[in-house]
Amino acid sequence: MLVTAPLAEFCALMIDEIYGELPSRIYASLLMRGRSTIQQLAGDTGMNARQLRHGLALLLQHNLLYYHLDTGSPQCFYEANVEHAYNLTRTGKILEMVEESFGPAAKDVMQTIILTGQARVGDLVDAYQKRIDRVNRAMEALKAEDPFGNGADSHELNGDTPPETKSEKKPDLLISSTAQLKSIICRLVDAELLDAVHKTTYESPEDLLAMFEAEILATYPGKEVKGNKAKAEYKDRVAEALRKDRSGSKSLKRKLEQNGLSAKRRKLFDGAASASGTPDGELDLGVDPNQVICINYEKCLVDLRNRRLMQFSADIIGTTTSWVYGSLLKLLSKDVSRCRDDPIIDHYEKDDERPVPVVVTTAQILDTIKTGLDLSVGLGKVDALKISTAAAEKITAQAPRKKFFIDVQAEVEGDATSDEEEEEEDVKPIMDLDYRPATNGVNGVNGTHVTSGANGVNGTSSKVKVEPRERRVDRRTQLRHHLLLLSESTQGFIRHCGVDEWTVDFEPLMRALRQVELDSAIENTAGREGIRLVRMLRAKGKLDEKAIVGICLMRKADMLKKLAEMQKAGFVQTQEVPREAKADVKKSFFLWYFDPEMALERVLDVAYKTMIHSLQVLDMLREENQVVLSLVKRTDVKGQEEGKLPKFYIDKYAQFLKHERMLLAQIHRVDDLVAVLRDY
Amino acid sequence: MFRGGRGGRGRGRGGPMMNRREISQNSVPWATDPKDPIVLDGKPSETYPAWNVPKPPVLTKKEERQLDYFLIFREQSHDSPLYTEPPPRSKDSRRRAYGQEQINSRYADESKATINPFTAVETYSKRFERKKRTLPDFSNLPFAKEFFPPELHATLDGLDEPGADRKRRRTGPKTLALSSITTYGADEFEEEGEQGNGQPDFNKALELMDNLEKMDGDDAFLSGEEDDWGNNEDEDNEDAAADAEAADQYDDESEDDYNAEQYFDNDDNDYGDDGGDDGGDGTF
Repeated sequence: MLVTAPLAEFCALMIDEIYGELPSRIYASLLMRGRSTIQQLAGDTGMNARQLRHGLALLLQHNLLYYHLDTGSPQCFYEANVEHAYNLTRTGKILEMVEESFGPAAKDVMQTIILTGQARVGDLVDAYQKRIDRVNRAMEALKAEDPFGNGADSHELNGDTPPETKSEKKPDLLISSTAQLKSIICRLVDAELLDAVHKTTYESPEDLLAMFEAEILATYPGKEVKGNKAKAEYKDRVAEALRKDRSGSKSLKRKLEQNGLSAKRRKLFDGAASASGTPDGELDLGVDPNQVICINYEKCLVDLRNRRLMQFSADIIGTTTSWVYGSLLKLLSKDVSRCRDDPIIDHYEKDDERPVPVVVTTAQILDTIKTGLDLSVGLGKVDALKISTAAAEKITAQAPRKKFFIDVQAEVEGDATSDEEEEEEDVKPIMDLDYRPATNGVNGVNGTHVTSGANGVNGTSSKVKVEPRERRVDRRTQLRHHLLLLSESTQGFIRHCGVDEWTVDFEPLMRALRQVELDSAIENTAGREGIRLVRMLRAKGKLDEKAIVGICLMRKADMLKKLAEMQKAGFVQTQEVPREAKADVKKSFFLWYFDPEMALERVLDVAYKTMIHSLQVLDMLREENQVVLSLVKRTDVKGQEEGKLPKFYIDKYAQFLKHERMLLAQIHRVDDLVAVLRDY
Repeated sequence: MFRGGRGGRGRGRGGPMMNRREISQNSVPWATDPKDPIVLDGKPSETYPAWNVPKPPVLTKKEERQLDYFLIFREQSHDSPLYTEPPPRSKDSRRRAYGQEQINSRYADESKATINPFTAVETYSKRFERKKRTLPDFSNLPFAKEFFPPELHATLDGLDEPGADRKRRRTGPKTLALSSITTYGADEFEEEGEQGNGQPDFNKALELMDNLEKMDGDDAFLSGEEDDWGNNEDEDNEDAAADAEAADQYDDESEDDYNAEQYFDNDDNDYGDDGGDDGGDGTF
């Protein structure tokens, strides 16, 4: 990740927000100066060694640093881990995702693990055991004091929520036994959301690379690699060593699999029921209590990406199809560990060594998809004669080469919104004829290779006759229709790579998504004319202003104004080409062009700055409301603000909370954009 | 040498006067279209132009939940013994800084010289306030020390203190503590926690039970000394006193040879407050 100044500042502010000022100062200094020792940090930050040691230990505990210790050297070099610091922003999203897929109990465990940074399994088990004991004791105490179960009115507490009635319904909080805790840990490890901490976890990628390079170089004669063939082999060996090291964090998962988790996996993944259901001892698969675990952000990002893609497909195609897509992605991403391949680590000299992309069959999807989902919804109806089955079922065995994404498509897709609305109106009557709720009839016509346009069948009488036969299609066929719909979308959601086999080419798909996000950012800044010009430039390449005037259907003055505005915002660039050997501004061509990379950098930069600004405003608000906030934190006031504080203060506090929520929500939303543009 | 005049606007610069159109034609590098020229608008811009402030769409349910979890996570993190609360910053801390020294001077620590005389006087209600930490407290938590560099091991043991040798008192097992914070601010006002399948209710009940248990203990609940993380219930009162002592120790951060503040530290009892009911933490 390229660490720019705004990103560095944001990370430091985020650490300040969550872990406090001391670590944040150290972290900012590490980002500013690069790797340093304690002595260097002391000189830089003006803190004493004791403060620094405490701060560094805290940062390391939360996996926010790398360190490197040369053998025999007394000093350690510390280095900032920007990915993890930035991912703190996503804690809320990750927790929500874990809750959705593994239930609230797993979320609780996950939260504890993020909170402690790295934790020994044994310590976790002890802590939960202690909490369980405490709850049990409290319950017994309550029962002893209050044998008739009259609620807690007899105590000094305000008795509007009598503890017993609630607690008897749910005898324990979320984790009712350590066995349950262990099984949750197993499940999270199996999903790769938790990783084992191993020897080289805290080595920075550069250090690791240098280490393995030196190691492998030593095996060559003369410690030198000569010749192209040898160089290629050397590169391959380094990549392999790095891959082997990276898989060290999966040791826990492998161990679990040996212990027979895979046999029980079906049982575990039975659904969220097992999370709240009765815990049984047999799920304890013997996690080593000495094992240290921490969160694996890479895999969390993969799962977040799946959700984003689901949403993308829902926007483009429809909700039902997006559910199908979601379960396909879930199956696929079991073996996808990270969103983007590392250019060094995932380097393969020969193409046949490259791991084959994961493939999912229709039957697998049919097994995992929820039975409650009505697959007949969301598919349009077209006369069978008008569908070219051969084209719809076309199998593309090979992944698309570069230049998969056709630029013309973007223009069609964006400018066609008004057409789509019309289309929707046209389609609706058909859906009414089908007697089915049509959640998405927009592009839902299966097969764009229809001879007379997608919405050519306008509820004719012949349609009604066809209807009864079609309604009896089985679930599998319906599922296939959804999948075909996905595979023939221009975004390339999935690829039909074999008979009833499906795969996803993430790279071109993410490129498409990135472009959509970028376009919407441009549209929000520069308006419809702006995005039109950008699309034009993207399709045509570099254009002189005269050429643009010829095709853009705008007044020249308007066009120039728009282009200048967008150049200022960094979305379009100009290139000066002198007409003669002697460059003269007056006599030069100015070519306008759109560079997606530069535009992307610019949008990211603005995004970081927005997030920084939100945190700074939050800081200001805290200072303004300091009196109220310090009161609210008092132990005698906390939890019963209504009774203890005057109305004026309560209003002020409520106002502050509202603003805080708004600011943090803003950060969350901007982070969604950053995730698509940078991480997915 | 005096050149004469006040400079004026452009007139003294020489060269022929141009009208607006000409200026506009000459100031842009590209050729302008005579039929459709760009005319510079020389009017001053409005002081307060009408600005259409974009309004974000309301949060979806999912976003609300994500936000809640983030806030609770933050709250739990602030509650942990590793959180260091920053002292209130001075007004000029937000000024632009030109260099590391100026940045460092922003964080001038809260010493007895910078005390606010209006709030610093010890009052009864002070005991309800959350104790502020200037350094994270590692002494009660377990760590996987094999993954830390050796120079930090002493810190993780809680032994990294000026008078380290006499501090070897923690020999009992360290336990990881779970935070029991399950709500953050807004719930009290919006009363939305009620609908979610009884879960928040139960959490609330548990919190109440926790409080109850604390009350059963002694008035540690009153003093707010026992935070939820500590799980100090098993420790005896001596330990609590030692805790307070340790907290004292944390307050002076500088371990210089000459510590001027120490000079005044010795007559701590002169404030006359110290009820003696719980270890007497007369720090500021």
